Amino acid sequence: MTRISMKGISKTFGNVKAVDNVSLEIESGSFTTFLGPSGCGKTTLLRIITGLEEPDRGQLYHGDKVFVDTDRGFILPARERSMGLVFQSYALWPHMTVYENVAYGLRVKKVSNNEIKKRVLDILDKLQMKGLEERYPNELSGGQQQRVALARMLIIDPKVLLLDEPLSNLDAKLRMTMRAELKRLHSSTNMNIIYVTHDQIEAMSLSTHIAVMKDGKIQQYDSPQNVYSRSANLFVADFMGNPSVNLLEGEIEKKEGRCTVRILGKYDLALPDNLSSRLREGQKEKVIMAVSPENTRVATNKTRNGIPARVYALFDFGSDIYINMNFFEENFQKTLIIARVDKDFPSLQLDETIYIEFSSRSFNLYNQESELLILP
Amino acid sequence: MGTIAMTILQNIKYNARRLRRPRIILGFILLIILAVLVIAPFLSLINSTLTLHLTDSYRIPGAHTGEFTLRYWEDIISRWRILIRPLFNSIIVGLGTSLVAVIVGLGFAWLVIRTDIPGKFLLTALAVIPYMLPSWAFVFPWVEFFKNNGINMPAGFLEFYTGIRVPIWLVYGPIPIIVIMGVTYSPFVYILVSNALKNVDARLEETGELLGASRWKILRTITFPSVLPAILGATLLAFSRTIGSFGTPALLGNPVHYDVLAVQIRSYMQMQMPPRAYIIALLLIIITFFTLYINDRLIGIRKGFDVIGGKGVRKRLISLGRYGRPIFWLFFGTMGLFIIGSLILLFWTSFMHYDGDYSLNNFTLNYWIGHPNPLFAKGEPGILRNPRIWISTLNSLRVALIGGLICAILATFIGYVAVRTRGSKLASTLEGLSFIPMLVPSVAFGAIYLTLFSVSRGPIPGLYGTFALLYLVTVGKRLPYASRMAIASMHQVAEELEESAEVTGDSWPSRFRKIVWPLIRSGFISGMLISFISTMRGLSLYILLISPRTQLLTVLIFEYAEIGNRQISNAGMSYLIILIFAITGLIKFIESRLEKQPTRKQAILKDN
Repeated sequence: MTRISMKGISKTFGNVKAVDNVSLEIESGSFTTFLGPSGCGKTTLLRIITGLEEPDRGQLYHGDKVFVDTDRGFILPARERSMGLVFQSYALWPHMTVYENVAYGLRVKKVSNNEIKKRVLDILDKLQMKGLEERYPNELSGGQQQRVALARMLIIDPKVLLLDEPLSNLDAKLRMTMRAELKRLHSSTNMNIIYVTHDQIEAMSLSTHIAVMKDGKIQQYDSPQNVYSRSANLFVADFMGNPSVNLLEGEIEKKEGRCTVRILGKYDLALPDNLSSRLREGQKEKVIMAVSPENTRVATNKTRNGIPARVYALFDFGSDIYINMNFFEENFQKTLIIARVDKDFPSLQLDETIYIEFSSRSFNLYNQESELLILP
Repeated sequence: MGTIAMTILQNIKYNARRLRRPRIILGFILLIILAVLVIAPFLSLINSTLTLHLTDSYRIPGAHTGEFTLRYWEDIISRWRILIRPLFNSIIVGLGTSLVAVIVGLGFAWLVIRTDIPGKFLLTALAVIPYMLPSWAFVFPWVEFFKNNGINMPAGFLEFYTGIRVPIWLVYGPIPIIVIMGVTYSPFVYILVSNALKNVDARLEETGELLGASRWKILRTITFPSVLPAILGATLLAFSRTIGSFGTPALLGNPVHYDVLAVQIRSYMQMQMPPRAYIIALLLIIITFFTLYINDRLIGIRKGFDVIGGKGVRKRLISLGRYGRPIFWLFFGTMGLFIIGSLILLFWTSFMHYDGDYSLNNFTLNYWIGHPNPLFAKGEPGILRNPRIWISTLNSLRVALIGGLICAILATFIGYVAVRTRGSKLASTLEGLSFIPMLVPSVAFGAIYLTLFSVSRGPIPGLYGTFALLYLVTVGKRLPYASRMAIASMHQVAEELEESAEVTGDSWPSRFRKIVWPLIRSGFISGMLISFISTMRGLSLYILLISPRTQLLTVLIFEYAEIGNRQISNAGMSYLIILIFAITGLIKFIESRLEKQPTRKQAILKDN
């Protein structure tokens, strides 16, 4: 069982801090995804782990094997790390056949030709590429190329498999198929998989752990469920979810020992008791309320706590309906939020009034200044 | 204190480890090599102009060879007037040649790329042929055509068949020099400009069209500015090659005492006055650099020199309608007559028994396979029986092959490091240094290498009279083009292709051999071919460096011409041209054979 530990890893390109003091413990056998927008440092971090990029500072261990230790001036070259890497572009060698591409790693290890033949054909068969050995990369489809790139690395039995946005060049349907393949691959072996993507749906569906990154720093490292429903800060909350989470400005106030949050300037929502210790009596705190579309409960008739809103636009996806709404209150007419409802929801007209119910179980609160999670 | 020292030490150790990457080590080795090939010669040249030469030390009591002196500079400066004429002539010739080369090259490029003129294959072939010939190849047929009794020479082709006697300024002097060199250097312009024309983004022009601009306006305001860098770059190239060119001005200038700087360099060398020759070489270099500077200020020189193929966007061609055929025949006819006519005349005269008689019954194979006869050709045996010809052929082949090979290998590694460390100081230094020899006029370049390597320096022995010197100068002069091609080739090999191999555990030499080399192989061979042709036909570069033991074919033929042994030199030139075409054909044939093998040359992805 070998985990990957990183301490204080930093890398700067010119004036840009690509990776900023990252410390992370990746459990063995996990499927960890580095998730974030372009330029957040996820690919650089991946390349540092493989050894193709050398950090300016920090330590990196694989189990008890030292990969990088800048304090002791040590760095292990990429070729000695026994890791597999699949590039976004596959990087198949165009002048070699599929067979030669896949066999390359075994030839490096000086495996016998008979053995190579057996293992290459075996893995091609496993990845549904039987009969394609003599083809050249430019004679293959995108999906096939991708599987060759995968086979090429899997055949050397790496302890860690790293993938840099491997599915982004595939069409939607193929992406779904490959996701399933990757998931099966992970569960059928005990390989450590490290995955880089900007697609949070991909991250959510495949990973056991997600590390959300921004500007070279790790914003949150947690299970997919927690990253989604208990996002550590506003960036993560906004990044996760499709469509994005709804954000509303608000203000917490403590009155008579109890805390409430006031939204839209006039509606007070109750907050659980554990929050009261945060503020003194009479103190206020500016917050942002985050509610996901599926937790934004709407009804066509007025309920006791229902907040009126106007239907701005409707999106019918067949299985769900998304309702875009804005508010009547003066400062909030430009604020749009989205609710997701079932397809059985009564049909609505544009500009119709509907009522939203927020409950403290369904929303998160973030301090407006620090952007950190307050509730839950 | 101790811990601070420790941290610093660790830091150094860590960074030193990072520098041990193969590409960095390779880069530093290349820097050292380039310092020897490019920088050291310059320093040596300057030094040589300030050092008392052997022959002069005898005339001065108490002087020692090699001591510092300003006398040569003082001499030239005080007698600057004797430089004015040659300098003026060099510049006139340079400008004239550039003008002719640009007109011809631009005209052909325009017709082939932007119009629907018929016979494009023929036009392209014609536009490029002069490149394969020695730049002074056309001198012989020109003189053969125009010479006449009116200038005290045996009748030429023109007089023989029409009785017309042209004045001497049409036979020798600046006008034939400019015409001949202009045509000879037009392929450079053609290649650079046609590339630029191909790369003009069609959408820029289409936008102009949509906005209502006339075809002429678009040409003037959109197309022309886009290709202007290429035109100016090509002009500069033609100019710098011309002023450094030795053969044509020597053969056409000497008979009428029309001197240019390039020829003066050799004259001084022959008069055992090397330092003066070196000063003139420096002068040539300064002129070229100055022209470069002007060009850089006007445009931005890098764009003009790119020889890489572009995206090849399909463009609408200008229709010439019924003028198409006539224009084709006009251009093809004129150039064709000049080039092919010249070659035919050249061959013809090599079969002429008596000079001045162009009739068919004057036919002889004497100059090709005849035995030595003191009455003809000053006793030289026929070309194919002539041991000097055979030996110098072998020498030329040797220098072209080995020099070309070393150059290509060096260029490959420069290309590798420059592309893989792109953006770093190392890359830009390598690119810059490898580019410099292109700006040095050939004859000056030869002079420079003479100063540096003719005496022993440290562990390197004196190389005058050896093939090693010829290899070195070949490598140095061909390097700019070879490394440009290598860089272009390397761009096709994305770094990820190498990284994938690295991750599987392969070592750098193994990766280079299995991944990089197969993908740059065809570029390597193309580069070698061009290098080879350039060397086989080169004269200016080698004229100062050859010795009896290292005689080259071009120099031999030139010497025959210089002493007036016209039929042998005509035959020799014909022979050289056949040789170059034959070898080129052979290499192309081998190349096409190699291409039949199933290697896929386009990488899936391009470096971006």
